Amino acid sequence: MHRTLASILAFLLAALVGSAGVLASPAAAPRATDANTLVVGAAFDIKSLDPARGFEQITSMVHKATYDTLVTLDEKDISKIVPDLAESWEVSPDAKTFTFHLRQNVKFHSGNPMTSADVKWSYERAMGIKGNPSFLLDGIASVDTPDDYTVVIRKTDPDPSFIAKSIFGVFAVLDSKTVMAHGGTSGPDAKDTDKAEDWLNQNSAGTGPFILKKWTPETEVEVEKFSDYWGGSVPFDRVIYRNIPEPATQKLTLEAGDIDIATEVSPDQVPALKGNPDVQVVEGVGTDIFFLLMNENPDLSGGTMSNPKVQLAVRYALDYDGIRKLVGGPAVTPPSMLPVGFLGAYPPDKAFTRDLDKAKALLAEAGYPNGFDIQLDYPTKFARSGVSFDLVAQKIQADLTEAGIRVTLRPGELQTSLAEYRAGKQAFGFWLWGADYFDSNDYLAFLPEGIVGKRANWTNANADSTIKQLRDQIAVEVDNAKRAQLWQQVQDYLQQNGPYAPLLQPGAYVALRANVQNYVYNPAWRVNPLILSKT
Amino acid sequence: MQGFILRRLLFMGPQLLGMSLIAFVISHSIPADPVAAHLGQRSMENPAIVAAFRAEWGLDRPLPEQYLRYVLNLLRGNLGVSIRTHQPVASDLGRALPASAELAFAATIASVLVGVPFGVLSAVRRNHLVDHLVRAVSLLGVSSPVFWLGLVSLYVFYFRLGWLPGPGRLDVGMPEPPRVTGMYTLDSLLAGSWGTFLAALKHLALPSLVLAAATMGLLTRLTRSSMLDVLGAEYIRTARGKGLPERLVVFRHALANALIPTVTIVGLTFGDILAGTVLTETIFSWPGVGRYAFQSAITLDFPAILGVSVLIAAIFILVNLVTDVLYLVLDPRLRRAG
Repeated sequence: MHRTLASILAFLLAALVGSAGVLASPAAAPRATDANTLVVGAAFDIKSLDPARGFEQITSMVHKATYDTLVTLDEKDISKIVPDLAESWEVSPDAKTFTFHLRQNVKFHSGNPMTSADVKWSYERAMGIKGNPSFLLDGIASVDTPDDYTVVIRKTDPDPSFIAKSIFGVFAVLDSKTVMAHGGTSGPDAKDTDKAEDWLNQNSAGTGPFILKKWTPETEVEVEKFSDYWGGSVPFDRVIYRNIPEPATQKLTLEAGDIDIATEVSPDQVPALKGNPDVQVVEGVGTDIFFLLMNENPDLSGGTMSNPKVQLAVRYALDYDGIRKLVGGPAVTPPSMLPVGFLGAYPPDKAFTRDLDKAKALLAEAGYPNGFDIQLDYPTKFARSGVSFDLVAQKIQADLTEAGIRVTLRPGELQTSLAEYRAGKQAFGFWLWGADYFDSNDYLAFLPEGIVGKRANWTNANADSTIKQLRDQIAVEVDNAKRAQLWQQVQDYLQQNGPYAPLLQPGAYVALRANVQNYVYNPAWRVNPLILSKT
Repeated sequence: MQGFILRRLLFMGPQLLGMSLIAFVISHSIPADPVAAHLGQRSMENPAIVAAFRAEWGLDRPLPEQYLRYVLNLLRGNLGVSIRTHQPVASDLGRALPASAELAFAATIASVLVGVPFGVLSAVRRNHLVDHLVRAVSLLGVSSPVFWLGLVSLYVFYFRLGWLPGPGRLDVGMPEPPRVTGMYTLDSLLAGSWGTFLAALKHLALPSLVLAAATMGLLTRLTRSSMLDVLGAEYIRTARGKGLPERLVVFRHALANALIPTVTIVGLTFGDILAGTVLTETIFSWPGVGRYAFQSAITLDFPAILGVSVLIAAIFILVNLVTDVLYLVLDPRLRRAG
């Protein structure tokens, strides 16, 4: 027996010496990517590169390079809209009519000139196909083109957030002649007649700085420079988006120099990356809000979660500092159900801070001096923006139990738990909301009769008039100063009332090679090759 | 022999049909709506978009009708279109299967070439230093979690030493070779592109060695114990007693018999690698069947789930068939009975 032991020990010793040698050796000389090529590492989720159909994160990243919209977001400030294919625009006072004045002398990748007819055709195609992103075009009554460079969009109802919506890829202006030649159709029956998706998956019919060269599913998207780009010079000959689903692998390839930008960086990787002189790490604040939902339907919880004093007690009982520390990174606690950074949103210093005594007092007032038991529903083995639901749920359980709310965790498979949540059947749930577009009106979803409001069974019947009136006023208010004021009133209300406890607004990290210049984190597309350069 | 093979192949049809029914029933019993997996948070609440989605994917038909349509299409060789990728499932699998096959072949060949000889060596030099070393290493191979081994090997051989390239099947920006089999190593050889062939081979090395580590360990131990059993048998003593050189005793008389259990394991692990090594495929960005199956399952992509289930069932049926035929070749006693 001691011979086996001896040989195992000898082997381990050899392994130890060997690995010490390997680890002590400097990293192999990094391969630099070609100076004229930008390589982006991403976790692919692309369903379709057809702007009328695809609406995923990486799809939006690719579309930023290949297509343009009439207006777009300022790179640094997502509450600012700047011109893109439209030089200027006007919004009618009733927020129903939107007039855009197009740039002239803009060419498509095919060489065809862009006119207002292309805008009309593209929008009507997107509306007709009824794809995933088509909800952004809901309520458009007509798209008119009084002349070649003017587009007038009329909506049936006032929509102060329409301009903010129109920055997304579904509003991309397509080369109507070329797409039609490949089976594209426009209009209300486009979902049955349009056959251009396959072609659009391998070719781009846009005005953007890059032309789609090839999409190898699950592997790479390659785009190449468009020399006639209306916006001027294009900094790279090629951009390659490479599918690397595992963040640890992305980190290795970035450090080895095989990619220039890594878009999946988790907070625990950041200290090591920051210590590497060949790499830079950029922080940004994301727009996802993680929150607790407390159902207004008393039957679901036995009257506990629907009690306003209990709801307030939960908001006081949570250890927000601890949750932020647990998640790490530039996370903030949003004061209410509106992400920090949006129009009218309070800054993080107005967020709740923990007050266990107050929480216990409120519970006693509510009739639960000895606390109560409740189950918390959430999706298991699921993470978004670096936040693991399983991990944070345990912290929530610990925090609330200290106040007397004895939480049992009820993790569920994502699709199953989501179904219950959507059906309004969860008494107490832990979920997240990602911004559909970067305007505060998206968060009307949380108010009574809104998408999330309904999941909390918060309806016109059981909501009080204050919040209902605020909701109705915001829906039609065009003036930004007034909108900001109204939203502040909503946040004040939601802090004291209502079925939500906002937990966290996580940050985001992107890591790049040190020689990549001018990178700015933008939550809509994350990488815009046009503004970058490599020294 | 021919009759045996023919019968097994004929039976495959009903087996695969049964598999498709099981997969259909199970995936539709899940209390979740594929709408939520494929449409965004707002679109899934928009009745017009949901209706268009259901109509497009035939999800608004009654379940028996959906299954019937699926089977009728299946019999015509049409596996439907994946809700997740928007591509025909057949073409998705046509890409994923060769990728997994390359890994499976490479890993199996490596583990057999290393595992079997070392197992023999270990058995023949039982209780010597060689034996102990081999057993220690194989224990490590079997016990290491593949996720850990994958990341560590990338870190050591790619990042630190630079001996092997990073994740993916080819270098960044390198075009695929013209498609014949879908296996980049073979296709690039057939097309005569040396550069692509070398790149494909180098990219194949790490993930297949990581996968082989566990199998190698298993094969070594199995071959060793099997050899020990056989070497202790009467007829081996007879052979030695007749004065045969040890080499002949081991390789002519013992090995073939010792290999029978090994063949089973090789077949099973080949099938395993082919069908599902999600972790390795994720770490190495290898777009194989495992990842495809995983992503189809979590997004309730019914056509893809059914397609993958039928494919994996077919793989295991064929692998088992090949294994059984190998038995007949290795063991003459079975030939008379079969």
